[in-house]
Amino acid sequence: MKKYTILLIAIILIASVSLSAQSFKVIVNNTNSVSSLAKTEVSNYLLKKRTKWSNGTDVIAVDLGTKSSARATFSKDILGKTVAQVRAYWQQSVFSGKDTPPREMESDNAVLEFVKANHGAIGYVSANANTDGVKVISVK
Amino acid sequence: MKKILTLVFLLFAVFSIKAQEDSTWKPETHITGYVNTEAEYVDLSVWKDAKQNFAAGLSEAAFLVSYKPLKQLEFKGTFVYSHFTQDIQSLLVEGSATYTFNSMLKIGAGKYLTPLSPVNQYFYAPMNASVSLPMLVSHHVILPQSISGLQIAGEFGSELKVGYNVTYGNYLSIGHYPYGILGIQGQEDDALYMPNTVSPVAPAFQLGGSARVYANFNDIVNVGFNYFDGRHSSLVVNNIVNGALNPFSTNAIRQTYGIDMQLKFNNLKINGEYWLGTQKTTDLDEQIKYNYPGYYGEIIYEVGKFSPYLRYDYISDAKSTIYFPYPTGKLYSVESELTGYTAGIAFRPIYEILLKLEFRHLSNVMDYSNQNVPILTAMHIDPTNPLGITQNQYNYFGASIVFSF
Repeated sequence: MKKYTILLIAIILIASVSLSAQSFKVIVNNTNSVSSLAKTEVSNYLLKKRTKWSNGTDVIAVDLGTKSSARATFSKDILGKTVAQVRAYWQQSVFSGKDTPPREMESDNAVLEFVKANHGAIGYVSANANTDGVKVISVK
Repeated sequence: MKKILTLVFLLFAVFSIKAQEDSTWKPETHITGYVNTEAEYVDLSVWKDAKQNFAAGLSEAAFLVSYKPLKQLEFKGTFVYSHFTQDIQSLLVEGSATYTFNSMLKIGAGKYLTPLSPVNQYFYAPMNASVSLPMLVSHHVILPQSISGLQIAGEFGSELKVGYNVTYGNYLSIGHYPYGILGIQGQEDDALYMPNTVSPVAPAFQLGGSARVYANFNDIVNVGFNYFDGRHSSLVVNNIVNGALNPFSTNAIRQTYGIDMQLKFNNLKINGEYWLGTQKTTDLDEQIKYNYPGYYGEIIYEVGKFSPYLRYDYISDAKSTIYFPYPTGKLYSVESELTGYTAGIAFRPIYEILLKLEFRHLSNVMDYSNQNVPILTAMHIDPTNPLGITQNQYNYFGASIVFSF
């Protein structure tokens, strides 16, 4: 019985990790040579702590709206914060004059169009979004 | 003249090239703000005699709008109302336009919060966990809250960032004025409103500048060096001639030096700052010189939505003069020291709501023992007994709710 319980817990854990990992996709413009990034790199780009790609191009981060479930998962998994904490981070940043938050898009399609149109763009969309025309990168 | 024209022409050329690069840019507007309501209780008996010792009400209502018509150009305006706001000058905390050439060079003009830590880190309520501000901010005789003029700033590096900020222009003649609901805290105000300053007052706007250099390593360690120079400031000197008060204004140099350090290890944040403000007259035979040291240290531990914190702070407060017509009819100096021990917790269940609770033990030592150079400040002056040293110890309980949008 104990073995089954452990197995069950393991399955639930794996499933939840897998669900979490699959609930969003990080995307960049097709012309971007990057194919994978570390979590901290993605976080640094989205929080505007790094503003240049390795080839010197400006990074243009784009975010989903605050009510998006993909944003909730992305914030937790990649940024290590809740959406509220990320908003608080940007509120502090705006008031202190450091920077303004990335542009927010209300839908996956809007993010996809934005990333297609901007060479230095990076964003994320829901896992089930059609990502033709942009590059999906793996996050380590 | 030729050189200036060439420089102006080059600037126009650079601006126009930069503007052309922005052809695909869509203007961005960002609006945020908050309403901060506080409840305060203080068990100070002297205070209780003079006023109420419990109050609740609006502390501040703030509105910030940022507009970027071009990728490189940002307009920013911040308005903060409190019930002590007496004029439009105080209401408009920031109003500026900044042009970013690149991360290493930003040039701006307008009115800025003095870009020296700690003002920049603590001024707005949602930016910190505490109900009350470090005394360096709330009682900052040693550095102005804001500067109107020009600003140049930039940042170099990636993991190790080195940044600078130079701001030059006019600043408001500073003193602190009661703030918060009970007036226990302080805020910058025009010299005209200093309760014990007598006519003729120092000019409200004086010329000065600030410089800040900092190094930041991966947001784990940040060290800053700060300097404020109010070279063209003036000092009101009270004087008695033939038994009558005869104040006059004289030129003075105001210089302030500060070092700040912020450490962050996972959920633990440690902040510490030391500042030394100086003011000395330049035209008097016998120079008057004041020193205003101040410092604080705090530890904040973020546990999910909770942020408990501890803070110790100290400031050697405003030194100036006051005239007591009764019972002595003389001028006295004041050395005022404030020490605070603070513990509190902030809770932000959702972005829109931030709750804060705080306990603060304060000690205020005032020394009126030197005659002929007198006072300004403060809270607990007993004009019937101005001589000697007085000490008040009191406890402060504060709670606030900050609604943000």
